[in-house]
This record gives sequence, structure tokens and C-alpha cells, in this order.
Amino acid sequence: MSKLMQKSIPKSIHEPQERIDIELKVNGKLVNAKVLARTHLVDFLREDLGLTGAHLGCEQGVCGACTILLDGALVRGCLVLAAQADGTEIETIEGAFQSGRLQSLIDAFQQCNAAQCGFCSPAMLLTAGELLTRNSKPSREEIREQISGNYCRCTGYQAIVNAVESCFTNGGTHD
Amino acid sequence: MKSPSFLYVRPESFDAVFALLAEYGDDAKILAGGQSLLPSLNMRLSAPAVLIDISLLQELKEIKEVKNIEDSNKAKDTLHVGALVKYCEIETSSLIETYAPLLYRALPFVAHKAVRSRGTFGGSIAFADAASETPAMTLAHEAIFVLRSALGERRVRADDFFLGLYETAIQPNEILVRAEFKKPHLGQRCVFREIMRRKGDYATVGLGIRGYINQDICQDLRIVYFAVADKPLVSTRVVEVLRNRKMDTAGIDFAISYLEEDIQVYGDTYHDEHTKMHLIRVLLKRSLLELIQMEYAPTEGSENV
Repeated sequence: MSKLMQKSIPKSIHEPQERIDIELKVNGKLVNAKVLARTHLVDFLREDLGLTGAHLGCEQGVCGACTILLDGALVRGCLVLAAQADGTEIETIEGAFQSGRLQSLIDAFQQCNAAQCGFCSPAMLLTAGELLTRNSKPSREEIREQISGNYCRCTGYQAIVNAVESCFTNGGTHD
Repeated sequence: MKSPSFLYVRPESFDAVFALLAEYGDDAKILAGGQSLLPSLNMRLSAPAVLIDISLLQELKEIKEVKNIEDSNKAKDTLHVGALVKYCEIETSSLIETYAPLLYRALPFVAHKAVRSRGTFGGSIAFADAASETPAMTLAHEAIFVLRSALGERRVRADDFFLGLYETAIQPNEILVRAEFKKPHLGQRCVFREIMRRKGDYATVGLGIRGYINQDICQDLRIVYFAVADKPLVSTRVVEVLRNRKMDTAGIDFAISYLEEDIQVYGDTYHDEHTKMHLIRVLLKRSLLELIQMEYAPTEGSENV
């Protein structure tokens, strides 16, 4: 049993390897695993850990559906190797949901009908949530900028921006 | 799609990196932030045998101001920007704003937040995408690149660094350590503009301009165009025409009439060379007017986008 890590210092690996040992925290829990070098972080989360809230869309960093938090920063799960996540702390939508920290945003998404097919929603929630941790009252322009890297193919952007906005406008909802 | 198989290594010293480069040569690729390399692997555009993750090389993560205290007349203060400095750090750095204002202004146009949180300055420079803002604005600021190998260091001017499509002066045994920016004089004016289909996408065309306006004459004018050819291009002809010429709308229009002598434009999948030439002409006019702080007022029938 390894001890709890210090923050974010990956181990050095001296020889090129195909399988990499990693140790990271996922949604607060310590995880040890051996991964193929080519495995993307999002595939590791989905297939090895069963955390299927991060979705796979384009797998080339464009659609944003695989967005997760790595050491508190938004990242594309398809543009990070699981091997690179050694020594880091990951939060997925499952973790954010369980901790309750995004509950008001999730409620707002429901009230504003901001989730249609739901494919983009986990990443939208994490992305919008990240903005609200830095800026408690962003403008519509700032909200749009924040989610500009996340595709909603139902094109429900208006409702999504409404939902984010309603979190700090007296809890009121838009039409 | 998924990456092809490769081996992964994360050395903690430059010597170990150089030993790996010596052993694997062209079969090895340096992994910095991975925001260009991983998409290219996912799309199977490249298939390196080994990825060398350089994230443990702490020296590459610094933004450092080097003051010249010896002779304030000769050399100027310099800003060293390490190859592993992330976009999100450049975006918020007041030192970058001072030393490389065009780079600073271009950063919000680079991809999106979740990419800028990992993408690195040096990765973008070494990747040398012709439509990317970072190489072009570094060229606009005439940065010096420091390349290191087991044999030592060499310094390459940005003008000599970008050789063609994804091609740079970096040799297979070298890695990019940092870029160095000289401190601009007070009063330098800068304009960055690009036209894109969607903010965060690669530019359709773009440019950066810097210079000093003195009694309607622009001095030390430098213009760099990007997303127009196989690498960012430095203006020669238009700048020459503007030299010692009054920078008013007539002077600007006259200079822009030389644009076709300035650059040879290539088309891409979405825009042919005529469209790109048209767009860069419009953008150049708007930008030069912005430089002299005049409003762009299109007349009827003029080139509107």
C-alpha cells in the first residue's frame, strides 16, 4: 500500500517501456495501475475504472466531450496519456456529482432544459463549473467564451448559457 | 481514433534525453504538452517508436527576466521563455505582455481553455504549424531560439528557424530549450488580428504588426503573416514601401497595392489562394489603420469581409 502522494510529481522512467506503472488520485481515491503507453487518460478512466461520464467524441481535441479536471485545470482526456497523469489528481463528473459541488449547476441545467441528448453535458458542467469557481458572476460573453471549446451537437447553447447564468441571477430561469 | 503503439519514457535529465535521441534518432518524438502531437498520433499522421516525455526538465518551465546591469546602452534586458511554459501561463504573464505583446495578444485565439492548460510554447514552436499564432508572433518579435544537444548550445534567429511546413532548424539530436525576447522600447505599437471560422480554430489568415509611429512615419515596422503559406512570412516589400512614407490612408493603400510582391499565398482545403490573398489584404489594411489609430471605414464596393 503506497502512501498518499505529494502533489503532482510524476516518477522518472529511465528506459522506454510499453507498459507504464501509474499512481494517481481519481475523484479523491488513490489508484495504482499499469497502462499501455498509448492509452489515453479518458480511455483509462472509462474502461479501466468504469467512469464513463467523460465521453469520447472526436478523439482529436476538438469536440470537448472528454473534458475532465487534472490538478484542477480543464484538460482534454483524449489529449493526455494515462502515463502522463502519473502523480496527478483527476476529477471527473462522477466525482463532482458525488461531492455535490456542482449540484446547483446540475439543477439549473435541468430547469433550463440545457441537456438534450446529454452527450456534451458532463463536460459542459465541468467546464462551466470551472468558470464559476473563478468568477462568481460571469457575463454571457464570458460564459460563451468558456464553453467555446465544447460542442453541443443538439445546438442547445442558448439554454446552456441560460442555465449557467441562472446560477447567480436569483435562481431565476429563462424562458 | 487511438494512437498507434509506442514506447514511453520520462527522463529526468538533459543527458538522458540526449542519450535517447542518439539511440532512437528520428524514431523518437519529444512529448511536451502533447496538444498537437497527440492529435497527430490519434489521426495516425505520425507513428514514432518512442515518446520522450520531457516534463521533468524543470529548467524548461521558467519565464525569466534577465536584466542587463553591465551596460545599459548596449544590450537590452531579455526575457527567457522556457519551452515548457504553458499557454495558460503566457496568457496571464505581465512579463510576456511587456516583452512580447503580440504573443500575449495572440494567446486568447489559440484553441480553447482545456487545450491552453496543457499546450506549451515550445511544443508549438517545434511543431511549426504554418497556421499557428505562436510561431508567427515569435517571428514578429525576432526572438532567438536556444537549441541544446549533447554537444552544447546554439542560438538560432527566428528568421532562420522556420523552414517550411512543420519543418524547423531543430536537428534530430537537439531540443528547444527556450526563446529569448529583447525588451521593446517604450511606445512600440502592436496589432494582432486574425480571421477564423470559429474562435479557437486555426486562422484562415492572420498577422502581427509592430512598429513605432513618429510624426506619421512608422519606424522599425515589422509585419508577419501566418496561415498564408507553408510557414509564417515576414513582410519585405510592403514594409519597404512604407519606409519613410507618411502613414495615412493614402500611404497605406499605396503600400498594400504591393502585397502581391510581398508574399506568395497558398490555398488550403477551405480557401483557395485568391480568397486568402483577398482576406489578408483586408486584414492588413484594417491592421495598419489600427496601428495609426484610425477607424476602418469601408466604402461602398470596397473589400468587405
